[in-house]
Amino acid sequence: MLSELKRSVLHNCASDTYRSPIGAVPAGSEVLLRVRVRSSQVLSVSLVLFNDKELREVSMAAEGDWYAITVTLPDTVGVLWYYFRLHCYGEVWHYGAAAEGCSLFGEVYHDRPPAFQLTVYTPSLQTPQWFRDSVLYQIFPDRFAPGHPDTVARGLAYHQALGRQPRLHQQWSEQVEYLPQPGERYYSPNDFFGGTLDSIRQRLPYLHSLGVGVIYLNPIFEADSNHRYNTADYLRIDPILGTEADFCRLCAEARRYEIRIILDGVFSHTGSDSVYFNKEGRYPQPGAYQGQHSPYWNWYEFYDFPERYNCWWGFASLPAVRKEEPSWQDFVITGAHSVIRHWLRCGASGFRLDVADEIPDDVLCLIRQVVKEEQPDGLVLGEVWEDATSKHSYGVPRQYALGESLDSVMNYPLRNAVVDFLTGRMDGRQLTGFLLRQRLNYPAPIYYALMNLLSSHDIERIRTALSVRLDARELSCEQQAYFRVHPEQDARGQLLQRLAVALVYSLPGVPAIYYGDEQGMQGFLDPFNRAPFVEGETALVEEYQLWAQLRKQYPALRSGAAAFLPVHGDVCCVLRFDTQGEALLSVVNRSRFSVRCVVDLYYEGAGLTAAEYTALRDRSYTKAACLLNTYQADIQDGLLLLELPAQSASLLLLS
Amino acid sequence: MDIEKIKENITTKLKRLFGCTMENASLDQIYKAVGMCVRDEIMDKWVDARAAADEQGLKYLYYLSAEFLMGRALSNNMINLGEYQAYQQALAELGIDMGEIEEQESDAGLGNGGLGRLAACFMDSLATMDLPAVGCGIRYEFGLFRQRILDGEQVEVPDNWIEKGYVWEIERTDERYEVHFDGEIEELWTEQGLKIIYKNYHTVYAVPYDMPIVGYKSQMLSTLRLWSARAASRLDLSYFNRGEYVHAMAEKELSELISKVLYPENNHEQGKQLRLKQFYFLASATVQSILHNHKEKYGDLHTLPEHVVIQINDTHPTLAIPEMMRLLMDENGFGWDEAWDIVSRIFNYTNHTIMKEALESWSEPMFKSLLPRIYRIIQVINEKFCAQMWQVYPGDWERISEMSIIAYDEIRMANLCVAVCNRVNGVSQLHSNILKTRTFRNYYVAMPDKFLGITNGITQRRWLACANPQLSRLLCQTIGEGWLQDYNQLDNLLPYSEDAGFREDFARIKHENKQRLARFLYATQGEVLDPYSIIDVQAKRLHEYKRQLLKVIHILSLYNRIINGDMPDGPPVSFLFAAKAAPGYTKAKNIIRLINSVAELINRDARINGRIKVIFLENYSVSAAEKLIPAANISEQISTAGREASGTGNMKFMLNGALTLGTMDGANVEIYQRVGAENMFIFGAQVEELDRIELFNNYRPGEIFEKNALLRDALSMLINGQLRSTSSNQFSEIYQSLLFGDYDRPDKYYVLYDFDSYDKCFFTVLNAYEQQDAWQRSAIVNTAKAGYFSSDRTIEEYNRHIWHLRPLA
Repeated sequence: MLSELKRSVLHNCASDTYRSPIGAVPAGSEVLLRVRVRSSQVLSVSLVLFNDKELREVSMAAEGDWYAITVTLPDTVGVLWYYFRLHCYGEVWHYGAAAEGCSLFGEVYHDRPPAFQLTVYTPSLQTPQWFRDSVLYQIFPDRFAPGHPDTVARGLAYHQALGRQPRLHQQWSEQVEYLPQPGERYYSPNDFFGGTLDSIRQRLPYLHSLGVGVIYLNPIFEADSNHRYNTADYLRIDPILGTEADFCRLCAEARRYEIRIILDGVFSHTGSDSVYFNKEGRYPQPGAYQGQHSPYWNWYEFYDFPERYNCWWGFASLPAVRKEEPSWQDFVITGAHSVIRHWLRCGASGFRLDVADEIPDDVLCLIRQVVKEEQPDGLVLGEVWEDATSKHSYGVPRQYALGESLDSVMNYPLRNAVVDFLTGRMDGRQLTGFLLRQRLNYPAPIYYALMNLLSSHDIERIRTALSVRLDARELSCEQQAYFRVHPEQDARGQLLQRLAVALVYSLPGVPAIYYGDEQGMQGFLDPFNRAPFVEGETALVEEYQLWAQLRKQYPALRSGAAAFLPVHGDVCCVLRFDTQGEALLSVVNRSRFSVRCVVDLYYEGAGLTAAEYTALRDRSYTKAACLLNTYQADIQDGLLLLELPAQSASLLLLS
Repeated sequence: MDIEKIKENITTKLKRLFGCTMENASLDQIYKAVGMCVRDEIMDKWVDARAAADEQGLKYLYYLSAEFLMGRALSNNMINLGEYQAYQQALAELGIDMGEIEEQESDAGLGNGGLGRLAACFMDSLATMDLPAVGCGIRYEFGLFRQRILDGEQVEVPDNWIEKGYVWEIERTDERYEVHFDGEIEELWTEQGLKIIYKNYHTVYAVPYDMPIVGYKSQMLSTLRLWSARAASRLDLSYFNRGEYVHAMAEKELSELISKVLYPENNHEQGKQLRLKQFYFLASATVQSILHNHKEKYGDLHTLPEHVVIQINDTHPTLAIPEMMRLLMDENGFGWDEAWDIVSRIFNYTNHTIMKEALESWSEPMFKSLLPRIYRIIQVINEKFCAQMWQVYPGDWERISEMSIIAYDEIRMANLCVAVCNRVNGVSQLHSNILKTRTFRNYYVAMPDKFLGITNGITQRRWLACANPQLSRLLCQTIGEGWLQDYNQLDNLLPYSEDAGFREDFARIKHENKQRLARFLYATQGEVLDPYSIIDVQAKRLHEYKRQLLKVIHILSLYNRIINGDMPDGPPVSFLFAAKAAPGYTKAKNIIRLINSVAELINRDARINGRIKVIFLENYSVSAAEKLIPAANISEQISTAGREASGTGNMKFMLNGALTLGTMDGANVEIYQRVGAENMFIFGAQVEELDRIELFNNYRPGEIFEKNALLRDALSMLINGQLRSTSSNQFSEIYQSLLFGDYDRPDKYYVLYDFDSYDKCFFTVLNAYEQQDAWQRSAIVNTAKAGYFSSDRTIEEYNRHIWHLRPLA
């Protein structure tokens, strides 16, 4: 029975034949779902459609081999799930999503199967065009470029006056600190290298040469650490970095290079050593730690005043705020001179919201409203580590990517998939399936704005991940400090990094460079991934520049439709195609051997809509010419036979 | 050999074989005596060559083909031995005309058309290139029918080519094999693993007849091994003793039916049990003999792939694949994977057709009952293959069932071949591209390294040296004899296209060949051919896609033009058709009737006054082709683009200095690439254009009919009674199917679509012919550029990409 059913039931949620339209859909629209059944064992088929609140089963209409139903989606956003129930003689079977694989066909199951995802989002959702067209550059401000010694000295003096003990490295080239100070138990990130806003400003021409359109600055507000995630004062630029005037000047000058600035909004918690909590008593006004008379008393939640309070992941230095507290909301978000409004008015173009999981959906929604009020094309980007469409936090399905909340998220799942593919933990077909699922699960406006990063201040650098191929989290801090990447490993890492860049720059979404990656910097986890910027490999920098140039030159790479074509276990192949007829095929061969394979441009169920397939066929491309080298291939009826050199990336322009 | 010796040998043979002398011997007896003399020489070389090949441990190619269209052997063998002139002179001195002797030989017509002739050309090239090869086929008692035209209709007459005895074959009764049909299998698990018991089967013996194939001045000879079926018990004595003589003979009759008749090519015909029996018979006997020989020579079957490579010519011999699996596993103790590894390294498949309806498949129940064990093996191959495809196309059962070997109660031979074989090739570049992008698209994407294209070829020994001795002699005088062995040297002819004297010789030979054809036609069917007219030839199997219909409708339009006084002045044109139609292919036979009716109308109409003439050459065969092709000026290669896999007729005409009037189809494309637009006439829609029409389904032949008065008038003649026919609706059916379709879309082969383009192109050809100097120049260029289409080049490519044979040292 199973073997017959297995071969005779078909639904592919990536193909218009089975689901029209494919992908995420606006609320209130209609979706036609079809199943093909070629077995006389099946008497009828019903659709089981559910979310976390309710489950509906409706029978489907038979027409020949097909069963079909048109589902009118609710007006409310949210993710729906569905599978099919096959009613046979005296038995019930199911057809649901397949666990893995490069295609989105399902499988027959006896019991309740994994479901197909159907994302329903706000019809009016728009994300900033400028952002979708950008390359992003993330800067850890203390480490990007050495600032003027006077600025740094003034800043250090400021902190010292408050009683803090910042330490300044003597040389930009020194190693980062990771050991506790004598007499202390833990390393405290108080060692500074002395980067400033002004030194960033002076590097704008360099960033411009990389094709950067937006800089994401890690926190820049006053705080007692080099990373500044323990905010002390939301309204003051950390004096080591400079002044508010420096910030305004940075934003203004960046605009001249068509570069925007976004800030790290660390709103889930503050520092304990802050104007608001004031645990160390460094600020004259009473903080919550001083008692109920503090204006900030209501921001925090004390379990046992004053020493036990709610804090982020149990770090006493990071007391969590109560996001539902009106005075906090007023101060940070909604007030006429709120933190968010203030910095947007100074020239910022949006915020990256730290630990979005900790911020309730309604507060995210409020933040979005205020940002868009200030700047209709302001950006709200969230730190979410998983698929933001189906993420649950604290047992609640989150609304991050449904239209009322974020414009974009940090695409860590992509980074992991790319690393897994390039290091052999995942094959080309699995990667293709992963990419296709992202395409189908995210609403298009968000999909094209995803922050496609390869490294960040929270994970090991891409170069290191690809060079050493081991999980940095398995290493102790000491091991990381003493690990020496062998030149051979580094050379391999360099090769693979080029492939990673090729992939990320050819996908929909915003390619994101973590400062120094383009120079080939190595670095394990925090704090090793935050080393001072050094110049390294010119060739690699040029490669980043070339890719940015290509993205600029070929709109299809930014805004074109994407198809993910399963080709070969060692190959990832992405077709970008726009209605103007521009088509590019990006192909990455990770193997240490050359690969001969055939790409079928017309392979259905790879991410294009029926209309896009028709347009593609209508173009009848006959030639493919590589934009990176002189390679050329003929296309016959949508088929290209490719000879891919070992560990190579190609970007083929079709004509 | 010296002339005196030859004369002595012939007279001795006559004495010993037939007990007669030169004076009282019949022509047939003289032919046989001459043949035996030539055979003696060949036998000596054959024995030596095989011993040498074994000594050198050479790998053998087994070329499996259900058809070998060999044609006559005598003069070809003499030429290849380099003794044609000697024999000719010896016979002349004995007062015998070589030509008459040649005509005594029956034409071994064990094939329908291009596919079988290709196999024959390959055997010639393999031998010439000293590559060890055995061609394996069936010794059909009756080859393709002899065609007679009676009252304008094709009548099929059986062709018993071995009735009078065949000089060139040697029966090997010592080496016969049992082939089993029917019965049931039992799978028994023993301590040694799975044991297959096959019982209650029915046995037929396969007896090989070997025929040596001589290469041109080479050491190695190829062997053509044809299998003949024998009943296990020649006579059932239990019936015989009871006086039931019919019953007593029945088993013999039934068993021997297997090698009785060659099936006519017929793309409409559904699988028949006897046909399946024939193919399994061929497959089983061949594989048994391969394994037997290998074991004798090398002992262990594990080394088989080092010494044997098998090429399957189209899907007919496909069953050799499961048969080898069976023999390795059931009779030689191999495990599945072990056997699979060997089989998948040995077998290669040449595809010859892209028309879906012509891709061979068998009904599952019929197959299962006739070949139960083979069926089981195919089932397992299929399961494993589908599992492999699931890795490539996970969950996509629609696609996988399209690719699978067994689906919807059918067993698909082409899919079996592609799934198993090491390499799969098409027979022209265009055809290979269509295989990759369309017919086997899903396979190609999954297994691109399997696929390649090798353009067909023809042997210049038979198609120039033997068929056109005068031109051959001129070539040898001009550029030496090297071209007979080295096709590249034909290129050396190119500069002579500018040599007026050479052009004159070239033209004179063409004219003499026309005269030779005229004599032949007059002798065989009483037709008068004007050797001063342009000879415009369409010679090939009759099939709708080859579009003899386009040609004949165009001739009707010329007729109307002449009657209406619209025909521009020019030389007279003789249109020659030569084509056999499969006996069950009604439409094709109707077209033959139509051609003859048109011939009757035109040839008898005094107003035409010899301006055009239509002749249907009866019983087209290799030997007829040898007369026809050297006389042609215009080679009609007008198939619907994308339908003809390669064509080899086009190459034969080209080699003999005819100019091609054709579509961009099959190997025409490559001829075009070589001779260029100025030496060829291209017309009609290209593949891409027709693809788009089919994609958008927007072909309306009716509209073309309405707009083109010339075409309309010609077509109207199919229904206005002007043409004599046997039944009243014979031609109206053709008319209907062009304009309205039978059961499907009208004019499936785009006759109307290409008509106008053909018409224009035809007049371009006529005008070109009037510039005789330029025409002769083009004709010489065609011959000079035909080297590429030598089957020697084809075999070189097969050997380089697939077989990897070493020549005999």
